Formats: sequence, structure tokens, C-alpha cells
Amino acid sequence: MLFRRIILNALLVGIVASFVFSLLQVYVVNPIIFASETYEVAEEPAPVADHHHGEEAGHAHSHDEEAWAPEDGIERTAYTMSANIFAGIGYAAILLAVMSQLSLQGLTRVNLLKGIAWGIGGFIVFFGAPAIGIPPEIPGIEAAPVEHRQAWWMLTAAAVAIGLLVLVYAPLKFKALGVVAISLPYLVSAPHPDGPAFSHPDPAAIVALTDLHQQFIVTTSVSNLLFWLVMGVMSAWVLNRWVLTPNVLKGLGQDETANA
Amino acid sequence: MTTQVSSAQHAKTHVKVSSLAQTAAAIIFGAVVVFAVGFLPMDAAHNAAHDTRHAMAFPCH
Repeated sequence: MLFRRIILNALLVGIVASFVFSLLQVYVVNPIIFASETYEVAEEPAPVADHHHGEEAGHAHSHDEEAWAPEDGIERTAYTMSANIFAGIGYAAILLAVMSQLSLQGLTRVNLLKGIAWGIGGFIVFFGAPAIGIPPEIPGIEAAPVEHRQAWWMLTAAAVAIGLLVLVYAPLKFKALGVVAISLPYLVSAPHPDGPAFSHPDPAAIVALTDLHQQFIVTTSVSNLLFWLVMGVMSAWVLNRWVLTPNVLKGLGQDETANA
Repeated sequence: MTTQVSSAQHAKTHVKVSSLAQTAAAIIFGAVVVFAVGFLPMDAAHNAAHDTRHAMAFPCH
């Protein structure tokens, strides 16, 4: 049963890749988030369409009675790591499913080297392409309404994923459509706020936040690239070993003898 | 004979659909999980996954 094998292996790949990511996040990425949060001010004007209803806008962890939030420290790290694991499992399921389908259709034969390419592809689709329009954000940054940014993010990931797959796997006459798909989100253009990047009133704080933001873009890029490289290589490995096994292929009528 | 051939062809078509259905289901599963971590607007979900959302370049706040 192909679906079950994809999901089971996605659990494995997701846990391993997110563990690597979590290590980097705890030691390199999160300190920047925490440092940025020290500059957050309660008096900030509420961003438009903010989804925290009536709480102190811009504060990373809402402290109103209604919304639960993990306690800073071990609990917060534990929730972050759990969220990483879920994100890893979800991404791995998508990656393994696409790899499986293309393999079953005879469009590719995945190996470890191609796994690296798949990892780079995943990094471009789910981090690089959205980050070109909306760079990774630190707390306290001014941004367009979150719903608009989320919609653009999803459009970008979907369009670039389809575009890359078309560029690599579609017949030559369709490749131009791949370029069109990849360009589409940037023609639509990402939502950006009018006004300054940071709402903090103190110029010194803005200098510090700008510096933190630069560091954040670098550290998240490196962390996500490593995460995706582990995802790609490991997915390629489990695909040949545990997903598309002779038994599964036989069940799908895909083995060589069936075609004889 | 012809019925055998056609039933074999039918089986093959059916198999193709079933593998595509399964991989599509896995993609939907993955997308739902990623959506829950990165996009769910619920405050509690946002607060639990807050640092992950920032680190993975999901829009936050």
C-alpha cells in the first residue's frame, strides 16, 4: 500500500530532518528572535487586520487571558521542536509523494545525488522563492496584513513548485509554461506595508533591529538549506529502500515481468 | 482472448489511477500538516508554532 508507506517514511524523514533543523534553530536562529522581542513595544500602533484581537499588537507571545502560549524556556523550545517535527513530516510527505509519482511514471530514477537536487528544489520552493518577496521576519517588523502575506506565500510555493517540475520533467514545447508559472508570483508581487520597516520610535533600536534582521535572513537561509538537503537525500534513500519496494511495484502492476 | 486483453488493460488503467490517488492523498496530507504549523490563524496554534513560523519564513503576526 503506497500511501501508507509514503506516510510512514515521511514520519522518519521528517523527524530526522527537523532534528537537524531544531539544533540549528535553538543555537543560532532563536537567539535572534529572542533578541528582537526585547525591542518590542506595547505602545505600537496595531497593524491592520492583525489577528490578535485587541491584545497588545506586535507582541510575539500574547499575554491576554484567552490565548494560551507556552512558557518561555524549556516549554517554548519543546513546542518549537514539535512544530518543526510536524512541518518536517508534512514537507516529507509532499516530497516523497511527488518523487514516487514521477518514479512510477518512469520520468525519473531517484538516487542519492538526485536527492541533493530534490533538496535544493524543496529549499527553493518552500523557502527561497517566498523569501524573495517576503524575507524571513523577526518580531517587531512592520508588515502587510498577515492574510495577504500568507496568500502570496502559498501562491508562490505552488506556482514555483509546478514551474520547476514543468521545467525539469515536461516535454520541451511546454517548458516556457514553467517559466511563466515561476514568474507569476513576482508579477503579482508580494504585499508590502507602506512606511518604515520597524515601528520602534528609537533610532538606535532600529539600527539594532536592522542588524538582527540581516543576521536572521542569513541564519534561516543556512538552516533551511541544510534542512532541505537532509530531506532530499534521505527521501531519495527511503524511496528506493522502503517506499517503491518490489512488492509495492508488483501491487501497482509496475514490475518488469508484468509488462512482458 | 479479446476479453482477457481488455480486462488486463482495464486493470492497468485502474492501477494507474490508484497510485495517483494515493500519491495525491499523501500530498494533501502533507499540505494540511504544513498548513496547520505555518498558517493556522488560531492564537494557540500561532503561539505554539511561533518560533518555527519565523524560522521557516512563514508569514507571522
